[in-house]
Amino acid sequence: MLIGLDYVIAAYGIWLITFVVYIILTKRRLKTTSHAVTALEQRVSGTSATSQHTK
Amino acid sequence: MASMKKTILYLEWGSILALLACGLWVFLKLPIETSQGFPQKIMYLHVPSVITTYLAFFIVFVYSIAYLWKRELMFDQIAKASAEVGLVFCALVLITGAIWGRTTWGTYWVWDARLTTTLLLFLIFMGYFLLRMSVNDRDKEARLASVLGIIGFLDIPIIHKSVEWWRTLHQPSTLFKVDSGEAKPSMPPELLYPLLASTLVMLAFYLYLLLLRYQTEKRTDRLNQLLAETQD
Repeated sequence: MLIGLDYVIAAYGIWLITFVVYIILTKRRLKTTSHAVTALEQRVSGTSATSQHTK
Repeated sequence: MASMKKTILYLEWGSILALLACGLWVFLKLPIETSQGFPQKIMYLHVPSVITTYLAFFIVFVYSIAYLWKRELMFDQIAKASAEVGLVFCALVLITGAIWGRTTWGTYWVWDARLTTTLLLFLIFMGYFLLRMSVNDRDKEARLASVLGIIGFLDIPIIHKSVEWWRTLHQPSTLFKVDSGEAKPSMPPELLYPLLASTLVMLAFYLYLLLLRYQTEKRTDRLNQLLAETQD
């Protein structure tokens, strides 16, 4: 067995897992925020259209 | 907007596949270095991560100055996104460096000038986010964070020069050394080329993460703006 293989696996493994988790969390946050923005924009435009209609 | 999405997608797959190719090159094609043995392979992860950290915080520095000068929110969003990605890379530099140090020096950590100043950089940018979280006013948050981002970046030249200014356990510059006024590669080409390739690929990966994170930042600010409008 190669001497120091465990250290190399640990270094590459930690690096890989960190970025996999980071990308997943960032993408999830982007998705959630985008949905919230779209919903709020629709609500805001709906409210302004209703207030114009009642005038 | 659609072109930005496409760029992010291309960068995502391009950089991930290129990282994989670099990994295969390092593990399957490169010879095992004679003095350090197999753990020397950590260099292809550690050194590109260091260079990416430097670039990420340099972007913070540039966009923080741009924000203080122009007061455009976009500049602060880019600085914030780059600081977060830089902080992740900086943490990985400390971790991979400690693992590599264990195999070469026999210890995970020493209070050596290079290691200590790198830890200081990590702590400064942790403080950068704590500062952002503690301020409610968006403009004030951006102003204070920009000042800290500029100050934080000033640690990088100290980190880089620490191996020359102080007696350290850490090795001198990995890529190039200055010999009689001339910059020469400090390693043979068969080790240098994969290192340069890994660095370029990691920079592309950083660019992907920066754009992804910037998109999130833009949406978060828009969401807060809409929430403020609906509350009025």
